[in-house]
Amino acid sequence: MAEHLLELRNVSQVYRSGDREFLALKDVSLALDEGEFLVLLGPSGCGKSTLLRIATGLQRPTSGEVLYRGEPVRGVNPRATIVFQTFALFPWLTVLENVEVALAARDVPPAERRRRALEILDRVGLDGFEGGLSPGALRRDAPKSGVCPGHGGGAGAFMLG
Amino acid sequence: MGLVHLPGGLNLAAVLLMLTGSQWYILFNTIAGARAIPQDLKYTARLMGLSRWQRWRILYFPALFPYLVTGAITASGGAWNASIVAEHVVFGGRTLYTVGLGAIIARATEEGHYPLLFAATLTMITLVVAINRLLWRRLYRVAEERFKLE
Repeated sequence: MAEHLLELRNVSQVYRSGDREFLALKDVSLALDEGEFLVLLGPSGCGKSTLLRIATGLQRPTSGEVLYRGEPVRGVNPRATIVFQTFALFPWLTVLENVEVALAARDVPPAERRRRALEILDRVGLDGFEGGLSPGALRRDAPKSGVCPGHGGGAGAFMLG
Repeated sequence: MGLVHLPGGLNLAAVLLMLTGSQWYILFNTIAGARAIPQDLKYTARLMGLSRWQRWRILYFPALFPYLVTGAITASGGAWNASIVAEHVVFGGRTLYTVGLGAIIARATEEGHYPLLFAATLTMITLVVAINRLLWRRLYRVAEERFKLE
């Protein structure tokens, strides 16, 4: 059988609260290959976020399997991530430090971290914001300078090959 | 209560009593703080693959800091209050007391020594206000300005 980048097999998710049950996902199967782009559409509460959490390994489904390159996903998949609609930035860190955190998690040494974080900010047009600016101030000030980090809903998930 | 027979025992017992009385303020504030951490931030920390230590340093400690300060302020207030009963104990027909402001206030009240009661209470008020101004208020400001969750 061909190996997919990401595969969900018969994934179901039931949420229980006391003796009430809510079926969020029922028998979902899908396969994603490298270079593919998938969009999930649906009204709120239909299970999009649940599916993202399960696909990235943040949450274990009630039943079914998640495979990454043919291997079952145990715990969070280090090759996957989610960008939340709240941006989920650490408000006590500056914009630059927020970028550096992701590199620190991968044991990149401090000097290298700073260099690469500056490069990334530069590439997305946020150079000049790398000073002591907090994410809150960025959200307020960025639209004025023509940089818009985006507003409104939805979460995106990214699978790296 | 066996503690009081040891040298410095009542001191230790008084400290323990104040600790058991005031720990709850910190505990419940910490619980409230932990519940207030946005789920998205917790997910992001896991998705990034932050180690346990990094998660504490980058997420949990800063997020809990304002709640810890609030808990500590309340706890220290409670401890001042408790010192009055903890440092001066009537137990088994004997009066035990240790050296302390709380003991002075309790004894002065018992003996009707009002000038001493007044002076001791004034001293305690001054101490509480001074510590509030010099320590707690500064920590509180740091918590407000630096560690506020938006």
